[in-house]
Amino acid sequence: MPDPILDIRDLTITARRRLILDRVSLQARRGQVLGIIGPSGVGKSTLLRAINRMLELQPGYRVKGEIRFHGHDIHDADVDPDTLRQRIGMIFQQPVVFPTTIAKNVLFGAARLRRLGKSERAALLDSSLREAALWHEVKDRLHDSALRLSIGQQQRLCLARALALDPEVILMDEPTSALDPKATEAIEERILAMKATRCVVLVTHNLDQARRVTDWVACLCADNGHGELRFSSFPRDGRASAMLSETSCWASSTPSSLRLFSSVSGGRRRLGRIAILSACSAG
Amino acid sequence: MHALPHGRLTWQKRRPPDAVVFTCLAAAALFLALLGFTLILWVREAWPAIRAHGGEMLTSGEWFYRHQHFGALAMIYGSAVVSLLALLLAAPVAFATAIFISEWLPHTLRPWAKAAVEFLAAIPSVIYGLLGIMFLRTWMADWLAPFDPLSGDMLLTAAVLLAVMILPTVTTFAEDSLRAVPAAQRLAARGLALNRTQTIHRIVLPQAWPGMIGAALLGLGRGLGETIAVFLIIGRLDNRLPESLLDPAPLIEPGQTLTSKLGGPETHIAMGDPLHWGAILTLGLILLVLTTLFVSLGNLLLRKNPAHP
Amino acid sequence: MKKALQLLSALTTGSAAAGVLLLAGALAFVLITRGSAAISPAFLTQETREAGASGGILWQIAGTLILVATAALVALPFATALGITRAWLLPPQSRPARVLGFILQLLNAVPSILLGILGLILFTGMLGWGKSWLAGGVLLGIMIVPTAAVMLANRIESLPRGQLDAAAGLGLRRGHIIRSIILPQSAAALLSGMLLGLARAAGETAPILFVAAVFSGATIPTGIHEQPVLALPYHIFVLAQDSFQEASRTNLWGAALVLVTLVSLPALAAIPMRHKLHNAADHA
Repeated sequence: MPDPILDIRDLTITARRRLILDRVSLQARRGQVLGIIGPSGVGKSTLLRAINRMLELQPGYRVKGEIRFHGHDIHDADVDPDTLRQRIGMIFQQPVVFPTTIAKNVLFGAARLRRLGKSERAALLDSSLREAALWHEVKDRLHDSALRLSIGQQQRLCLARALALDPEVILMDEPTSALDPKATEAIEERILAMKATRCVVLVTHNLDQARRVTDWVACLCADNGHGELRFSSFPRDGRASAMLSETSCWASSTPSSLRLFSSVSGGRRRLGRIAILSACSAG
Repeated sequence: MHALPHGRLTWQKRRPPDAVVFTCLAAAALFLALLGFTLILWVREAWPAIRAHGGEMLTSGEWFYRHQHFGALAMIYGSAVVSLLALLLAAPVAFATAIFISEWLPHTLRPWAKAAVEFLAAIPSVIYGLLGIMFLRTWMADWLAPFDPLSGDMLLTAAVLLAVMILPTVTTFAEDSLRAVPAAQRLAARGLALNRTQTIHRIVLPQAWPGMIGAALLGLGRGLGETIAVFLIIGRLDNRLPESLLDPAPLIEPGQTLTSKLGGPETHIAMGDPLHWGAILTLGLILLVLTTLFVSLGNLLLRKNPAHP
Repeated sequence: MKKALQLLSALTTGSAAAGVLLLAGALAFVLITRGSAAISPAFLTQETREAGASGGILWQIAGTLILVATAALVALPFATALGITRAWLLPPQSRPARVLGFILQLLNAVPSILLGILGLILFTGMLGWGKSWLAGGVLLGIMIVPTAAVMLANRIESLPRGQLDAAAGLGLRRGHIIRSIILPQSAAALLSGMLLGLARAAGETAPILFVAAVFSGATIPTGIHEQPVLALPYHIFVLAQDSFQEASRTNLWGAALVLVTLVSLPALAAIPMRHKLHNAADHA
C-alpha cells in the first residue's frame, strides 16, 4: 500500500473548552475516496475543516494532534496555510459561486496565484470544466453570470474552480445534500472519476452514497457527548457493510438524530434520512 | 496532466503579509498612532495648569484668567444642568416616539417617520442655534416674564434647545433597541391573548430597557459635547454658581458651559500663555472624560440587549 | 377597561410621535419660507457684500465644498483601512478587534469642539499654518473616519460567510480576498458611510472655528500657510450673532436653507443604499 497522502493522528479538537472530536486517527491514500459518516453535530465538518486549516478562520477552535500531509505536519511553522489550501481543495454543502461570470469563477483562485496568459486561461478553463463535467453545458456562455446556473451546475462550477488549482486532495463537505437526484448522480460520477489522479475525502449523511463511491469509510459517533471514531473499514467488507447499517452508531445520539429529522429538506436528502431513521427504529 | 507529485514536498515558507494587508494594517496603525500622539501632546500642554492648579480646577468656581484663577466648577455645573435638563425633557418624548414607531406604526409608514427623525438629526447645530436666537430666545423670555429674567439667554433656553437636538439621537437608538426584540416573541405573546399594550409592557420593554437607558446616555454624551447652538443662546456669563445644588435661580440666568467656554474667543487669547492655555486644554480634557464615560456606558448598555448578541 | 388602557397607551405615544413629526415639519417650513425669499441665481453666484446684507454666498459654498472634498480625501483611506482591519484582519471577537471597535465608537462621540482645539495644537501651534483650509479639511476628515469605518466593518461582518470560506478554501491570501470579495461587496456601505459623515462634516462649525474659516476676504486658497476659506456654517454662525441687523436677515435665512439642503442631499442619497444593506443583513 502506498504511503498515505493524509495521515491524521490523535486529532483532538475543542471549541471554547468543549470537546468536539476526541483522538481521531485516519489515513487517506491517493487513488482513494475516504468517506466520513456519522450523525449531524458529531464534528464531521469540523474534522474536514481542520485538514486544510480552515478551522483557524473561525474563532475559538483549538486543534491538538497531528495532521500529516505527505508526511509533513501541516501545523509546522514553515507551512503557509494559503499554499496548503491550494493543494487541499474544498467543496461546501451549499454551492458558493461568486457574483461574477462563469469563467471568472473558474479562474478565481488560479488567476490570483500566478499570471495567466490568454492561452493558459483558455486551457485551464477547458481542462477544469471538463474534469468537472460542466464543459458541454457552459462552453457557449462562459461570460454569463454564474448565478444563472442551476444549483447542481453551480456545485460542479465550484468543483471546477477548485480543480483549476490542481489540488492533490479534495475535501467535500456533504456536496450533494442540497442537490436533486440527477445532480447528485453527476457529482458522484465526478468523485469516482477524480480519484484516479487525486485523493477525495467525502463527508456524507447518505449511507447509500458512502456505499456507492467510497473505498474506505470512517464512522464518527457521539456516544459520550463528543465525536469519536467508531470504526473505519472497506465499505463492502462484510463487517463494514453490516456496520454501515448498524443502528447503535446513530441511535446512541438520539438528540442528533432528532436534529437530523428536523433538518430534512430536499427529495434525495429525505430518502437518505428516512433510511437512517428506519435503521434506528429497527435497532 | 494532473500527475501527483511524489516524495516529500518543499513547502513555501510562510510569506510576509501581502501589499494590501500590509497597507491596511499600516494605515490603521498610523491613524491610531497619530491619535495617541495628539492625546499625549494635549496632556503635555495641559500639564502646566494641572500642576499649578490641579484639584482646585474642579472645586473652585472662580475663573479670572487675568488673575490666574482657573476654577471650572461653574462651567461643569452649567454643562451638567443644561444637558441633564435637556435629557429630562427629551427622553420621555423620545421613548414614547420610539415605542410608537416600533410598536404601533404600520410597517409601511415606519420609513417615513424615521426619515423625519433623521432629518432632525441631520440639521447642523449652527442652524439650531440660529432658530434658538430667532425664536426660542424670545419665546422663553416672554414665557418666563413673571420671573423677570435679564434676557432670553439663559441655561433653561439652552436646555430646551439642546433637548430638541438630542431628541433624534435618543429616539433612533431607543427604537433600535426595541426593534432588537425578536418579532417572534411579540407574535407568541399575542398568541397567548395579550393585547398590544400588554405585549409592549410585559415582553418588549423588559428586554429593551437597558438599551433605552443606553440611548439616553448617548444623548447625554451628545448634549455635553454640543457647542455651537449652546454657545449662541446661553449668554456666556462666567462664574455663576447657585447657593445650593437645587437652587433654581441660575436656570433663568445666563451662564457658561464647558463647550461654550471652549468655543469662545478666550481659546484664541489663551494660546500665548502656557498656564491659561493649559487651563483651557484641561477644560477640554474634563469634557473628553465626561463624554467618554457616558458614551461608553451607553454603548455597553445598548449591546447588553439580549436579542443583540 | 382594557380597551381604554390600550387606547390611552396608543394615544400618548402617538402624540409624542406626532409632536416630533410636527417639529420636523415646522423646521422645514420655517427654513423654506424664510430662506426661499433670498434664493436666486444671483445669491448663489455672487460674493457677499456689506457684511452679509447684500450679495450672495458664492465663496461660502465654494469654501464648504473645498473643506468637504478635502475631508473625503483624508478620510477615505483611513476609514477603509480601519474598517477592514477591524472586521477582517483582526480575528473576529478577539480582544484587539473589540478594542479597536471601542476606540472607533469613542472617536465617533468626541465633541467636535475638541477637534477644533486639536487643530490649534497641531496646525497653528506645531506647524504654524495659521488659518488654513487644509487644517479644516483634515479635522473634518478625522471626524468622518469612525462613521465610515464602523459602517464598513458592520457590512463586512454581514457578508455571506460562505463566499469568504470558499475564497479561503481556494487558498487565496487575505489580501486577495480583500480585493476580490470584500471591497467589491462592501463598497456601497463604505460610500454611504462616507456620505453620511460628509453631510455631518459640511454642517460643522466647531472644528473649523479656529483654524480654517474666516468671515470675509477669502476666495479659492492658493497654498497652505495662512490660506483660510469662507464656509457656510461659519458665515451663519457669525451673522446669527449679529441678528439684530434687519438687512442681513433675509440673506441669513437664505444661507441657512442652502446649508440644510446641502447636508440633506448626501443623506438622502445614502438612504436607498442603507435600505439595501438593511435588507441584505436581514437575509444573511
